[in-house]
Amino acid sequence: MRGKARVVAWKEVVDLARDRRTLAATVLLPMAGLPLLALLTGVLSGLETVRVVVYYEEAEAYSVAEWLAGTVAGILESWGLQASVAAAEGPPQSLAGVDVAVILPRGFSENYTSLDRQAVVLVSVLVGSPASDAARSAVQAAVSGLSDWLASRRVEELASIAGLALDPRAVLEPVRLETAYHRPTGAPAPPEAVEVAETARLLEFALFFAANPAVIYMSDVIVGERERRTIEALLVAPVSRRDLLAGKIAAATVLGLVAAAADTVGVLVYFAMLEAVGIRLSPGLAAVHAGVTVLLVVMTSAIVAPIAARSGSVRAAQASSFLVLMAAMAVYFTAFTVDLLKLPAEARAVLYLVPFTHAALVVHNYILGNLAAAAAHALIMAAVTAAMIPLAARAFASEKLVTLRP
Amino acid sequence: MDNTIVALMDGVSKKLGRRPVLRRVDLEVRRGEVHVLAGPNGAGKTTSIRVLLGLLGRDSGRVMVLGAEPGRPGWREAAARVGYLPEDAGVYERLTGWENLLYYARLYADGEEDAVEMARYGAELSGLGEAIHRRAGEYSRGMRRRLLVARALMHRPDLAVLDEPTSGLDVFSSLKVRETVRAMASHGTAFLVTTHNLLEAERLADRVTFIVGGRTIFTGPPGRALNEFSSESLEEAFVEAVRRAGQG
Repeated sequence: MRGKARVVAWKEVVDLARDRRTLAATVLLPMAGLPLLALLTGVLSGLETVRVVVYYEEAEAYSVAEWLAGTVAGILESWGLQASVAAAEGPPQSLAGVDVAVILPRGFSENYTSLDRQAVVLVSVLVGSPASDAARSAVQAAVSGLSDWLASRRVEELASIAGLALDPRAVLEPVRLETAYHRPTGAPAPPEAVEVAETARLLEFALFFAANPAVIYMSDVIVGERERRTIEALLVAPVSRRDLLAGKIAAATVLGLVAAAADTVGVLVYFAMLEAVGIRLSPGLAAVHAGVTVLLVVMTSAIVAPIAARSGSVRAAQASSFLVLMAAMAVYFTAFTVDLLKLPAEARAVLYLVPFTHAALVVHNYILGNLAAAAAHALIMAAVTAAMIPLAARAFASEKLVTLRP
Repeated sequence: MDNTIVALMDGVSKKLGRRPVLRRVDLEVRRGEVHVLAGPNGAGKTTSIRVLLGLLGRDSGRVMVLGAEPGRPGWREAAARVGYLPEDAGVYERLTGWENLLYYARLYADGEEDAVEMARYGAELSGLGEAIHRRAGEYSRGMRRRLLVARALMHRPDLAVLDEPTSGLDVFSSLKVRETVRAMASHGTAFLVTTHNLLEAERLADRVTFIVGGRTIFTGPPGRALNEFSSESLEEAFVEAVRRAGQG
């Protein structure tokens, strides 16, 4: 960086270091926002109490009802949910206050213990409750386990009657599916690669948290100079518009590094809190994510700079920059829900026109092992930045900077 | 250009949108003189300064500052020899007074040693004492203005352009600014000072230019203005000049 640009960057960094509000938005938003999200979705949902009652309409079904109640309770607790599961005799009088009612009807035991009849378990699920959905899944898992165990026992009994020695699994599951994974190159991938890829998708979405402070900061440092009436003396001082802008973007990069660090910490804490989901962050992925975040912040700053320089006020600059943020949000949300590389060429071409897409594709390609493609997308980001800086420098020379009033 | 002339506007016209704000403005500022550009609010004083310093373009006419035309080759070197205090200028509030001075000193100086020396001189000019190490956001309006005047003059410019320099200053601070301007002018710095306070113009000016409705209607020493408009004060002379120009 040239001398005068360094001077501008020094002033911006000192100014920024004392700007508690921007720092709080930069550091706290990603660092606390993601763990808070995990807390809200994970921990708070664990505070709900799920009520399941297993009704048995005949005394012979008591032991199965007890087993089902115990198994469902265990499953729900393993999912971090607070469960109230009980077995009760007789048909239910009222299902009020019950999330899921499991009913072992009359005739269940006879069918259950026979070799040629199907026993039926009735389930009634409370509508409109995520907790009751979780309880239904737990009941389904428990009944499925019970059914598998009973099927094995029936096969063993039938084999014994027929005088055959066989493995019940060969009868119950005559065709078995074995899954392996591979990379786009065709090379085999370990099962952990699936978790790492899932993590990468989340990280692509998390890039939004880094773009956000860059937009706020660049809008303020350019239009703010005018609103605080410091721009005129600066424009007359012996410093080129390009050095001015380079200094401000360098300061935005410092902010980007802080944002990247906070973002990565936030994501790590988020994953640690949701360990049960099985998400995995490799050191390489963490490094690529941090690097692309910095690149993204610099690129975002360069995109926002000319918009801010041509806006009439901080409010107008922020309103215009909001459109930039929306574009970033749209891309990162899409990257989270859709495989960008699987889209038709026309759709991809449109997305490629949005510079933020390339940040997501750096991470995406890295995780697929397409290092050349990842590097190409990083280069596109660098090229967009390089192209936007002269545009912003020209916007700095605009008479608007001097003549417009807040 | 006459080498005693450090700033020149020759028949400069400028429109902002469709509204003409300068109509053939003529202005000459000579080495070591204090030249006051006087006129009522909205007369075109600030626009003239902005055109002179290249902050605004011009529609016609010629502009030269220290031998260079704004935006043309040599302008950056010329701009380094200009000190500028804009009207209603602001300070960087989260920086201390000292850091505000040091920032600009680093933009104007050749090296860190020069910059620190320049900022020290600025601190002395400001007269802020120990308060120079407080954040500028805590300063009163007068303290901010003193800091900004010091910032415009600390690099000992060949041309200082001060837009309403004593606006918001108390009597003592205004006097201090006028003393500083006179002292620096005696060492060769040319000053272009705008004001709508003609009492101040009378105390300060070697030459004065009256501008009304974007037109310059008189240029010369204050004494000549008094003679030409048969007046006892610059204020009366200005009113008469405006009346004769048909703007009153």
